[in-house]
Amino acid sequence: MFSSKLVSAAELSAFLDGETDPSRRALLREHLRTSPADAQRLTRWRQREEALRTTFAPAIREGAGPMAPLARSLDQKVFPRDRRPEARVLGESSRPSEEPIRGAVGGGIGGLALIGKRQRRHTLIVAVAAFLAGAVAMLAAIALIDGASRITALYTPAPTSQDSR
Amino acid sequence: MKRNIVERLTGRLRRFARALHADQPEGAADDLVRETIEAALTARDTVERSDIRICLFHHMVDKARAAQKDKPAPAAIAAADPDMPDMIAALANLRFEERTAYLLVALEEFGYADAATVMRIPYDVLATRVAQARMRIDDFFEEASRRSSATRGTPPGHLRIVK
Repeated sequence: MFSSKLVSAAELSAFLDGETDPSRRALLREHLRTSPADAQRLTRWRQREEALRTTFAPAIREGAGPMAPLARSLDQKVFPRDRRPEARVLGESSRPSEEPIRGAVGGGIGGLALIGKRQRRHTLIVAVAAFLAGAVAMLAAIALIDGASRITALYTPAPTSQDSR
Repeated sequence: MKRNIVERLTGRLRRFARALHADQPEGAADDLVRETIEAALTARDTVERSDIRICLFHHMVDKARAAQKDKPAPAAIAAADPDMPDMIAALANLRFEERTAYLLVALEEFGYADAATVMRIPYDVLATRVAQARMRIDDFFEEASRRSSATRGTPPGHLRIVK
């Protein structure tokens, strides 16, 4: 009875939510050891809050539901950068490949550090695009040369095989 | 970069709205969610706010607060009403400000400082309301068990969890 005067229900409530002043925390723990009634009360509150979350869990499972389009339009307003066309190009699927590229051209990107974040992102996108275009062009060239030499290789042995017969 | 933050938050908004509207008919909760997102869409400050979660819950509390002022206070709901899951009945029995504070902390797991920002009330007032709500819920369940033990034959329902 006496200790319950020292620790109010309000203080117990704050303790449950981890909002107790650090200087009172040890005292509260000690109080809970010696006052089974308050310890019980704390347990009861905790259980009730678990029940509360269970009761309303279906809403979380249902997610945005019919409100999804409306929610997306707010997403677009609050985080417009995610919706820019170039951001879509560098979307989820291409994200893993971003790391090795960043490592490979790390020196170049380091030099971009002084440019604004937004601009840097633009520059990075342009650099990646240029790199990819170059790579594709080179591959195409190799394929062409390779193909051409293969054709000549095919054409030259053909008569020799006929000759040997 | 995080994506679809609001869309993912909407499930939480729906949960909070349902709990907040414990004393109102079904469908009212989703209307509140819709109004909340619409309010955030037209509000000028939404984009500048670093914490979209606080911002959205603030809009919701604002809307709900305005709506419940127009309505007469609901009569105290009889404990262990067979048509109403008990946790919901217990919530419906709370005053709006207590219920809001309690749900922000106990259901949505906001810290007191953030919950106070959501409700636009001082930290100490929030702490008091949460404590008051807990004590009032205690009283509600005590009353419920007293009644169910008084009227034998009806099963005591105060520990029922309704999914």
